[in-house]
Amino acid sequence: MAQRFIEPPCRLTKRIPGILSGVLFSFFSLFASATETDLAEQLFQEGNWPVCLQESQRVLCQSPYNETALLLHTLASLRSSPTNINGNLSALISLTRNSHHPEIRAVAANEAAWILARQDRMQEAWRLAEQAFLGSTSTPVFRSSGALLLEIMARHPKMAAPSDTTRLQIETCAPLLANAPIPPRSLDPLPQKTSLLAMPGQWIVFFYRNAIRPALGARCSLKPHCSEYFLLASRQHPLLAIPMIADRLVREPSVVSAGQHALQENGTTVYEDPVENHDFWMTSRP
Amino acid sequence: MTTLSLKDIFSRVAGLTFTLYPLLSSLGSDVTLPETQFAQKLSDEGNHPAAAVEFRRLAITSTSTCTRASFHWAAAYEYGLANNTSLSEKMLDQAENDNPDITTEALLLRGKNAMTTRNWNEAAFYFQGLTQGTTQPVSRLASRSLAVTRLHQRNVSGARESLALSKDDEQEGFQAIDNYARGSDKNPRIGGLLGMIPGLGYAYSGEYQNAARSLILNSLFIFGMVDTADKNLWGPFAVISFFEVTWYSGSIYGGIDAAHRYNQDRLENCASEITKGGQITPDYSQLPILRLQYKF
Amino acid sequence: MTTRFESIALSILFVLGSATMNFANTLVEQLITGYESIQSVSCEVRRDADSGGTQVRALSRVFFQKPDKLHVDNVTPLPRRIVSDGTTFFSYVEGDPKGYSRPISKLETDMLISLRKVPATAMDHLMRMRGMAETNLPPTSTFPVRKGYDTGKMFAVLSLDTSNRLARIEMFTSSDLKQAIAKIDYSNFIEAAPGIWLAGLHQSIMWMGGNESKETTRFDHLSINKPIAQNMFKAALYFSNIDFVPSFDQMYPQGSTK
Repeated sequence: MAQRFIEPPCRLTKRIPGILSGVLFSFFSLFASATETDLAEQLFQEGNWPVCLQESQRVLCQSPYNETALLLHTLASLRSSPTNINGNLSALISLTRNSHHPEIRAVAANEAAWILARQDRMQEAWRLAEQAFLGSTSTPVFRSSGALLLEIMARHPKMAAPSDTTRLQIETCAPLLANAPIPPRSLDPLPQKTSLLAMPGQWIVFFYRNAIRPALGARCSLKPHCSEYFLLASRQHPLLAIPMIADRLVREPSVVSAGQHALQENGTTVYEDPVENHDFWMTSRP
Repeated sequence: MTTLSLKDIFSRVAGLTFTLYPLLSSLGSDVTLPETQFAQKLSDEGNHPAAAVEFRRLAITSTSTCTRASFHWAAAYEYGLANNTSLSEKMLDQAENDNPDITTEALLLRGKNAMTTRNWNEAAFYFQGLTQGTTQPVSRLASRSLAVTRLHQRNVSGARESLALSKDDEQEGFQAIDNYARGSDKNPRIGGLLGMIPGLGYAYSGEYQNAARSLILNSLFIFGMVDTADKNLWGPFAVISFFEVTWYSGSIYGGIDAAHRYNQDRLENCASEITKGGQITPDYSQLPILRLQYKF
Repeated sequence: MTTRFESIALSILFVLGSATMNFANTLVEQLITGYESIQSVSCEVRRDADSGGTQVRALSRVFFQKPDKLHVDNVTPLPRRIVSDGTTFFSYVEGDPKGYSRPISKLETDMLISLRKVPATAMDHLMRMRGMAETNLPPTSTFPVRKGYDTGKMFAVLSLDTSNRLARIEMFTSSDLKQAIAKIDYSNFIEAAPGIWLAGLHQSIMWMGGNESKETTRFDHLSINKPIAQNMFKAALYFSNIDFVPSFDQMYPQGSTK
């Protein structure tokens, strides 16, 4: 059985599974009073966590008891910053108990279950995932919570024993759950997957940023900065990243003296020189 | 008790109408909501994503479909300025769903988005549809944009035909296309081959300063390699060799990329001669009525 | 006083007439009959499909003329051109080794429907519902006229809006209308002739296997019953030095991965 959902705790903090956009979409269709959170919901579906956080905070300032806004605020907070997981977890668990809307309870229970599973608190995770699985009318939540239950059953068969009905349902739906699309919502804006060929470049950048740049200071006048440019190039074109950065270092004085596409950043002038300007010919379209 | 004559009544009513008319007319268009002003302020400050979110908020809270469409269009425009073309397209979908009459404005922005993402076929589709049956500023803008798109598709004759669709005098544009056709692109393969001699690839494309820097760097590191090898200092030799491989591969890549940059600059110069900075800007003071200003 | 021959003829006519009337009385037939007044359509079509997170945009120009003449210029995602001159159907994707061509009389049903449906209408669905028994369904405030059709595989519902325009087609697994398979909304109507409407916006949602797929189609620059140059339907003008084969299997060399 594919064990792609639960990872060792040390790598879990950045891989909190997303509530699929369909969840909130179908969930909002049930409630007539969702208008004030429409924008926050759209921003959430687009993955714009910081702005969603602000927007849901704005709604909460006007309507402190708006449970939808509270849910969105908690989920956006979880995705924006991994530092307050326990605080957000408490907020989710509180929603699973106190919310007046069954679908909010189910969504919160599913999210909390996944967090608890990553913290290896399987008993609590099972309980909440079961609550979400049985309580939700939304297909994405059903599949997400079911997939987690399936995974827990595989690792801890005895945990399912008291819940025979749930176990039977999970086993019946197994083919549907095994293929549940659960998009990992990375907190890192850059792509997670890195090829093996790109890794040496990343180590070099890591060394430069931690050992050399603190001594020399940030000197790059281009945007993105050279180390960032190298990282981006190594992700998109692993083998070409080295000649690309060499070319960039040679070009830098010319770009600065040309003075085009200037921006102000932290009181200094930088010049735009994105990777796209130097690899468009590799992926040219008709 | 005085009785008013018809003439008096008429003059009083006329006077009242003329007094009230500016107020009445301003209610329809010139009064700007505070939220619209805030969105405009964010846009003026260059905070386009935030401006887009404000326009989206205005759209969501609007009860009229036409008003909603206008605000969604404004949000799409701001997302376009922020280079977020996917969200810009999504906002345009909303705008067109709300108000089908906004098609011309939507297609103009879709064409612009397609050009940003270098989707030339798509851009040509949108602009071609706007060259006929639209007002003069729109067809002029569309024909110029179509000409630029054709150039990007390496279709010089198509660019001339597209510019001819403009109902305006486009002599400068035709001149720019002719100059472009007379010139020649640099061959990236030759640039790469010449780059095997450090700096020559850059020089081929006219980047002499880059050529000099590349030559100096490669010379220094090659000298270092030779010197450390002579002295059997294999550790430093390995380090210097690593850096020399970097500079040398950069010289070859730079030769290729410099040729592409040269060709791109040549094309962009021609494009700017054709469009002459022509662009559309929304007049936010008229919102929720969507009015575009065409600058040429 | 009528002769015996005239009596028999009248009886036959009466029987035929009532049968025809029954057949023609269904909403499907009324709508299809209405579109017969449309002889030509030209437009630009923008189609956005969203399925499982994958988004595809298709842009094309369509020129349609009865009978059986069609010219479709697909711009994206694949540069493909379709020309039908009234006798033979041609289709070619730029860059392919060969094109596809068949006499119209030998085209498969689905392709024939695509060829003959009037752009910006629901004719492709209506033609598949032809000849099916019609059920009256309870009206709603938005849709005062609703008719159901059991196609055998599914149950389709046609809804007319308050202006008597086909505004929605829904498909359910059965006549209990509990499980929806698909929904297509038509809007942005243009009156081609009195009481005959084309929809400039089609929005469809399909639910299958727990997944939802959406498609939005917009029709711009709609031009109805205006002249179209006959050279638009001469395949030879658009396909030079291209071999055409009568089946898709023969289009690619054996062992090709395309």
